Amino acid sequence: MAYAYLFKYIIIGDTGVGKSCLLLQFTDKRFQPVHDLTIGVEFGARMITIDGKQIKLQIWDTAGQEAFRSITRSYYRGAAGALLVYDITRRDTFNHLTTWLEDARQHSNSNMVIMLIGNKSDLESRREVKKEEGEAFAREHGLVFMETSAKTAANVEEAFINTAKEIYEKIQEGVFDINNEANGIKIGPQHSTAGGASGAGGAGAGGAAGGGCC
Amino acid sequence: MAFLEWRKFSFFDIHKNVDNGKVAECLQDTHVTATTSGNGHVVLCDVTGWAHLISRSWEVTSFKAYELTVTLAQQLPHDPYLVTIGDDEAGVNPLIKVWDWSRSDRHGNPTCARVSRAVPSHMRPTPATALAVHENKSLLAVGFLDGSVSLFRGVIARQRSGKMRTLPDSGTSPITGLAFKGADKLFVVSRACVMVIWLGSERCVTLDAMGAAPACCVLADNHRLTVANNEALYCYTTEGRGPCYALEGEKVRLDWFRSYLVITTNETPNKSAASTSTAPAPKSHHITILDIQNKFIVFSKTFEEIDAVLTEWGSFYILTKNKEMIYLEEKDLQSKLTLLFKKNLYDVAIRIASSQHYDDAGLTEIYKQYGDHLYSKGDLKGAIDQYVKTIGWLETSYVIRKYLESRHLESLVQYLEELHKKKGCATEDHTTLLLTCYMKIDQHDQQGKLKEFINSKDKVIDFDVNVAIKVMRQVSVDDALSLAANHKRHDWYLKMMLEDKKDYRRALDYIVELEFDDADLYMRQYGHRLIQHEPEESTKFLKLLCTDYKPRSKPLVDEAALSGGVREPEYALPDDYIPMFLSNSERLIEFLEYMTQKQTNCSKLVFDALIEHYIHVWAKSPESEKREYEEKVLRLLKDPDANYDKDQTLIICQMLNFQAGVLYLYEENKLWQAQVALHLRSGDAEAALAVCRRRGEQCPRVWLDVLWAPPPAHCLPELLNVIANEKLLSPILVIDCLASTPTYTLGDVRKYLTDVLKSENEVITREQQLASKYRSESERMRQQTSVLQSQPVVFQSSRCAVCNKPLELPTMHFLCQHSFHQSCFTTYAELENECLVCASARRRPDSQPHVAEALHARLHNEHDPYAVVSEYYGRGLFNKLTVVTESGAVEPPAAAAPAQPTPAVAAPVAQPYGPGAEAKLRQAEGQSKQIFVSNTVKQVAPKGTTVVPVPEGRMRLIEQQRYSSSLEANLNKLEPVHKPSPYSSPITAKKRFEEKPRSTGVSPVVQQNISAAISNGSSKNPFEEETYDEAKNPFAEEATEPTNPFSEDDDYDSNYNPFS
Repeated sequence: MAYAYLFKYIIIGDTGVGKSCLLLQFTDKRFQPVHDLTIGVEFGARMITIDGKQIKLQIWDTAGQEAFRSITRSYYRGAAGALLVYDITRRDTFNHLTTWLEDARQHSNSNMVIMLIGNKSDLESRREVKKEEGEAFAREHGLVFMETSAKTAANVEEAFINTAKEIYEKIQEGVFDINNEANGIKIGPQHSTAGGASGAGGAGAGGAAGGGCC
Repeated sequence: MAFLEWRKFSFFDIHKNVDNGKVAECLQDTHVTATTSGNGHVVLCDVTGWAHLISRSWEVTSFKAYELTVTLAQQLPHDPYLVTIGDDEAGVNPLIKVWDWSRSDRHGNPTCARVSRAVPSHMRPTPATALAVHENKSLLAVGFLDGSVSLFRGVIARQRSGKMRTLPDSGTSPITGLAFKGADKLFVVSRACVMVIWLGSERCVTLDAMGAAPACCVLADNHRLTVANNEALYCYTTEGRGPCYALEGEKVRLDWFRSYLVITTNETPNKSAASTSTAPAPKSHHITILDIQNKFIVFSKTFEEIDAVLTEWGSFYILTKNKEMIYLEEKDLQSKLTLLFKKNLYDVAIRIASSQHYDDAGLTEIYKQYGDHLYSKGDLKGAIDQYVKTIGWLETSYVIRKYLESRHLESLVQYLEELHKKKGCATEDHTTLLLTCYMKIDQHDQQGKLKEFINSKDKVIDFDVNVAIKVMRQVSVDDALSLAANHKRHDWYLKMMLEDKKDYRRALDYIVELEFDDADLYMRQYGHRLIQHEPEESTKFLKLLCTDYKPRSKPLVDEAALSGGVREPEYALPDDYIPMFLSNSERLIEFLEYMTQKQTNCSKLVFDALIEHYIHVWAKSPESEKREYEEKVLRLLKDPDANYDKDQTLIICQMLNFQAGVLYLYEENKLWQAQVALHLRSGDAEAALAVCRRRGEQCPRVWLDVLWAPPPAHCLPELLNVIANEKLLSPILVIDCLASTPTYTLGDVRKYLTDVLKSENEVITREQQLASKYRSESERMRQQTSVLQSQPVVFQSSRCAVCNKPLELPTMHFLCQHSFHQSCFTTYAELENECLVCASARRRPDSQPHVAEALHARLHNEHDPYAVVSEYYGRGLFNKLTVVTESGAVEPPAAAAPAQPTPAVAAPVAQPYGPGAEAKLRQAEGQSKQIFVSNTVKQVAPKGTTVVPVPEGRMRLIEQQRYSSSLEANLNKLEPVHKPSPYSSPITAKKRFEEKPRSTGVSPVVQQNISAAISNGSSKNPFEEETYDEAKNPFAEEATEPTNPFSEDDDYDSNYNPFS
């Protein structure tokens, strides 16, 4: 499938906030009320169009369990965007946002676009976190904020696409070095520059330098 | 961390000792260093350098591969090649050997096709740790302890072919795994990292900075490399890292079997158990099988220490340290499912079944079981979700029955909705049930579900609208109406509007919105009721519909019109709507008046209906308004454009006693007699007389009708005068008639009688004079003839009758005293023996064909002679008294009678059948019939005719006619001069025309004739009369001519007579 850019995303947040459901809704447009716990990291992809360009989104859906933190951490690197998800019906998931954010900032590249998502907006009656609180948190930490519902598909598309737009803008502004794959951005086959540096980016965790070109 | 694992099942059965100890026998007390399998065989290599080739039936072929030991081995999957690395001598110097076990050497061992050093001679030898052979037999890679990778290209089974080179950049940590991905990529797993090497460019990309233990990586399902470390299993593609599955434990081996990942881990002995037991726990391994696709653990069990896991022959085997072969047999799908059902894990079962392409019927059964299970647990909503999936397979009643209780209504609704969404599953009953459910819900909590359902414009739910409407109608007519309106079921809408709501105005409004065709259709269907209840509006609408209809909703100027297209005006025929007004005459009149004004070419029906209803209204309305309607009717009747059926209108007028109309129509149809009869019936003798005066010329009979009425005395003189003048009736009958009315006095008729007698006397005398004159003339002629015969003739003429010059020889003389030059005669004469002068006088152009001849000709030519005959009858051929012909001529009617057939023959050509034609014909028919009756009475009845007793009045009438016919006969006989017969010879014709003016003034003579007739009347034999009458019949004409001797005389009578 031809694409102009490939953006890598990661979805993080406490367990049970609906990360996998968001992904499922975005990629398959369906909702599964009963979802098994994510063991490890799962993966989904979808093509979108921004500014007339085909962009492939490659999304890592991580396990929220603390036990898997060590595994998931290795996936931060090499992501251009992150969806930081909390559950509006569970205050504690909101409270843990800071930890997640720190983790993300620490392990990812500094330019990563992070979007804050308050999921389960369909369960208004059980809401514990006000929308304003989410907005305030986002403002404070320089995030984009949105409330979504994976069940009703409200704002799900927007959440992913807006993030992609932001990344795209950053590319246009030259903030991202698109030739460095560690940034989570890859130029599509037809965009491939002749420069030999394109293959240099390794996805190595722990700061292992990517192998040079031969 | 058990709770953070996938669900565990046991889908494998363990069969121990499947090989009957054969493997243990061959291995004896050595232990296995390398295992591989492929091409239907399992290969075990032991520490002593032996390789054991084991077939499916557990037959072992053993051969010594290396002197010392075998470290690595790989069997190609589709070829009988075995690649091994081992040592033949002490020290580090691994050798690659390729065995072709399809060929055996003289010892019965597989042939060694190739032996080569694994490490190039210029490099420091280092133990080989990984081996990969591409199945295309031309690529071979060996990984070494020092992190280098050697790649051999070329046909591996040949001793000297191909090159070997060492790949760069492969790091320094020991290589633990190698795998070819296609022919151009090689996955390299070392202790420290995972890399992919692009063989073409020898470019090396590091995928991850995590390595794995030996044997802990496998290329699964041919595109993903799965690498296990202590925490998790990571998947890699050539592009980068893929998903990962967390699974704790120190991995020993990783194998791939179908879609299962077989993971062998070191079992960590239970610490508590270890502390309590004195003996050190024996080393053991744990086998976990992951179903990657469905994300289950499908097998998990601890075994004794395991040497190898072998996957071959469609299943897999575990070789334990104790040389025991354990066979793990995968359960078949059915037993897997049974297992899951037992645990009530239906969702898992469904996942497995669908991933294994279970058929729909089977899946449905699972859904059903799942549903049943949830239902029995009380999770009705969950159950319905499952039942929904069975739609199309499972009998719906099974589900519906379970949910019939009212508290389960919502679930039932959900099920039914789904049922409707699926094409062709929902029946009428389902729709009915669904709607009933909606209504129940609505009653309960006013959710308006029904409304929502009805208003679903895009028709999310496929249902039978008719059924829906039917159901809704029983409950909520309003909803049913909106449903019908939404789905354009106009018929239903109108039906309900009219029958249930009885809101005629709205129904009408609805129709107004419709397209022409629909509007027309439904107006026809329901128009009657609408007119009954909404007469004004309906009439207005009908007017519109019948002139230039356009749905109200449409813009005045539509696109077609804007773009220049001329819209074809659509309008209905008013005819169809007439019956709808039924008795509402006023509306109908309004409607029809409008129609007749708007449209010129209205059908007959429209006018008929209009007239009829005018008259109805006229009949019903009070005297004061009658005038108005009368005028209207008459105006319409007189309107030349009004295309109404006169006969029908006449009947209506008669039925409702609308005299003005009747009279007008009689007038139109020339039924003056009827007109007169009508006047007489109403006692208006003056009016009757007026008609007589107006039409008496054309139809003298009307006078007689008045006479028979009888009229009041003061009208008599005029009446009698006319009768006398026109000779309509014999004086005897007139007297007879008048005498039957007691009111008349002799004084009333005195003048008439004297006039009649006087005129008849005159006739007699004149006739007598004429007779004597003729007698003398004939006498003279006879003498002349005798002179010619007996005496010589002297031709004295001196001039030629042609050139009028003096005669010169040769001459020709005729007895008629005409003489000619011979030259003149031959020049002009047509016949030799005929006098030119006399011949020219004789030969007159025969302008009119003989009537009889014409008739015969027609009979001959027409294909339907009977029609011709009946036409003649119809035109009054035998009709003595209906004198319709020769209008304007003041000839005596009696004289006209015989001449009647002449114009009658011409008539059909000139005059088309008018509306009154039939009536006229019928009348004529009636009269001729009367004559016939008279015949039957007076004569011997013609065969086949019964003698009908004739009532007295009729008898009298017959008599009268007979009399008149005899009169005519007499006239014919007695007055040949004045009544030139068309049957006379052509010579007379001209003369007759010339004589006509003369005869106009001779009515007294005719009167005389009549009196003469009266005098002979009694003596006449009626039978003779009839015979004569018969003779006058044009059919018998040929006979008539010779019998009339006077016709010939007639000629002589003329001045042209050359002999006179």
